Amino acid sequence: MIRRLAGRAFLLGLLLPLMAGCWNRVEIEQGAYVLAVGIDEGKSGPYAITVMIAKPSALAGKEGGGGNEPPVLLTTVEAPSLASARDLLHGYVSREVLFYHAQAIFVHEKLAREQGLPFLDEVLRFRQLRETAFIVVSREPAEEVLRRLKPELESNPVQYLEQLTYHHRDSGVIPATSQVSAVAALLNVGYAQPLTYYAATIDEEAETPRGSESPDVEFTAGELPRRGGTPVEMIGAAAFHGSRVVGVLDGEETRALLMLQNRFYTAHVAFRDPRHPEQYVTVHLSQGRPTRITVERLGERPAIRAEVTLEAELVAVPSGTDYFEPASQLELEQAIASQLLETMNSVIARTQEWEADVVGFGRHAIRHFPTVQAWEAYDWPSRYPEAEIQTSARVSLRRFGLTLTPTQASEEGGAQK
Amino acid sequence: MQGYKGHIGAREGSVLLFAVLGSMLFLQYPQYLVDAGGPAAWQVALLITVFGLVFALPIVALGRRFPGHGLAEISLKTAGPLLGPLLTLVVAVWLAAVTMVALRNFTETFVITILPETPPSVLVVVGTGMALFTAYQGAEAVARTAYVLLPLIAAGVVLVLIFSLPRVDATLLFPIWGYGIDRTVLGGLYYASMSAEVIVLLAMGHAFRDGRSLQHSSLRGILLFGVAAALTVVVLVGIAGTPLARQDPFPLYYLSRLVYLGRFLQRTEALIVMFWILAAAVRVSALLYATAISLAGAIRLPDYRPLLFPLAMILASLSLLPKDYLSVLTLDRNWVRPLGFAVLAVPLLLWILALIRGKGAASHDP
Repeated sequence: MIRRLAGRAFLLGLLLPLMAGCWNRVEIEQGAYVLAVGIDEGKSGPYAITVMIAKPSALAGKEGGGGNEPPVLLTTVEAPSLASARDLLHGYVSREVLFYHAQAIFVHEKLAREQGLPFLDEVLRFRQLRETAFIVVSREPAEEVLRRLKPELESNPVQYLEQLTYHHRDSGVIPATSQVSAVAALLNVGYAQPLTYYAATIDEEAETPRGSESPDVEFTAGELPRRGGTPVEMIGAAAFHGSRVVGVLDGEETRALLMLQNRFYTAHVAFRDPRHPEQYVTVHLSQGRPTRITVERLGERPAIRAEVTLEAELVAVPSGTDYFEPASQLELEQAIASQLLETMNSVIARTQEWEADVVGFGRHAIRHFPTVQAWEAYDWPSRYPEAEIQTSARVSLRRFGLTLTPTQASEEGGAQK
Repeated sequence: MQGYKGHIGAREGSVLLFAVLGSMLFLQYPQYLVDAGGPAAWQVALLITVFGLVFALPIVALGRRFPGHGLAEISLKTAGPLLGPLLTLVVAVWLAAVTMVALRNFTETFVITILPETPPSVLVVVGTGMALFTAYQGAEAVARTAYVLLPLIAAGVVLVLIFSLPRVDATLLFPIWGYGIDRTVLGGLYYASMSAEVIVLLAMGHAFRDGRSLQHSSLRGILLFGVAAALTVVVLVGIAGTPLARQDPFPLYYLSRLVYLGRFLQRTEALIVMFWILAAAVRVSALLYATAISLAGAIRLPDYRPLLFPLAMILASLSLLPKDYLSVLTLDRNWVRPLGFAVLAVPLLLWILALIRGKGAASHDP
């Protein structure tokens, strides 16, 4: 009995080496792990592919508080695909270049406008790349953006980017998702067009201040009115028609779009004070009720109604106006709603001009069609530019912060103005 | 005549069938459903369940008429010494083809997704070895292995589906009737042979405790598979959309790669691969056992075990014949699945013959 058991154990032991998958073994210190990829138009090859490779020792050193070594290695090769770029990289990168940890794919806006996303097929097909990586369209060449991506609060540039993506929940100035899986799904179904993150670098040497002369806060990537910090800004969204970029929305427009998409969470937003138009009232906006989109009519010219319901809490009233009064409260609510509507209508008009339903009104239209054939025959993308879209926004001022009446300093501030 | 007599109850039997059928969800089969139904793939899944249950009724009836008997014995009793073994042989050949395709299919899936450098022959040999060992231990060992492993396999799949839920976009499940009710029904009918593996239970009918156990195992197994298939395609289409989902031959792998809960939980495919191995082991073991026992019955051998090793070697060698992954898919879709109907016709024919000739328990014929 014991001999029999020992024999079986021996046989099982012989099988163990086969279970280890030794053919695919990669020791951690033998791999060069790509954290982000940049894709630009190439000069000698179809694409200039920039890879940001992690330097684990430098990353660990930085987290420990010491070391001046850059945490990543950046290098660019010209190749027809990401996988074939590995061969060129292996000419001078000693470790095996692996894309398993690539978290961000930067694409130059020029390339995305002219050629679309021709590498998307590889991202979905090549097992080393993950569909959870997010796409960022960059105003400047992707290589330049990656080179200038030197965050100060994070040691890992990709971790920094990942943290930025979470701001869609607390500021609403970037799209809800830009992951490859979501972009690919929308590209294929056709009832909505994809949106991706949008990034731009700033000219640190410029002497003229950035931003427009308008007193309104500028929310455009690369134009944020600021000094200091990382010279790369990721705000707003790149809108696609099919696989090509057709336009760019700024942060404020992106927030309005999120409200229409029912994907808005919260944000602190400054609106013009209705009683003192030269000043601003800052409120904490949050979703009151899910956005209601009603398809009122289909046919030659579809008619859609969008109703956005928000709740607000007063955060700052520098003018000193007492919005606790029911009449002034109503006035402020209407002023906020009207300013939001203005942005929403502008977003809709722009996307209709681009023939790109990035809001996703088609999502609501498709439910009225019984079969795929009927839906495809209707040809929603060609109907969207002509669609009659009515929007309405209702804002309820629910809370007034930690104080109900204006402070003395506010009243003085208002009086001085 | 069988070499091993076991006592499989209803619970073990239904779990065994569910494991055999459910393991198909790791492979390209959900893609078939999406291809047939588009956004209404879940309706196709429900229809194949209904049709599968209907097609399983003759098996249930035979199990009740011939408690404690396997397919080979039932064929012999009802169809006589000439036609009986021939019908069993038809089933054995089909089961052999399914085993071969399953072996190669899992191998290709491993090579494409996680082990690109590993020679397919190594995976085939390892898979065959595992199946050979379990099948040699007999029907009860196969059923108990499935019973022990199923909670692990099910937990892995359910967790992936649950973690994928936040990504589901319900709009992707519209238009509600997919490509049209007619195409959905036809698709459901065509792929109803996905549950033809229920014949495995009849092949090992001698190992069931009684007719009721076989009945409950067949019906519950198919029902569980239908529910799992419907949930899988709902999540798959709800995330990838019809155009991508109908092109994705590794649906659960795709979904597990998408699980991304910040830095806390991601790259869950490493987990799903483990369940794949377990599911593949159960499926191939059960199929190999059913093939061997049917073949032994067809050629009137008293024991299936002498056949196991040569059969396994032949099937492993045959599984390496298709030149590429596409050939495996084509072989499965165009030949193995449609021929499943012919296999499902065998119990129906046997049942009719049993009724006409008055064979079985109902007629008090031992």
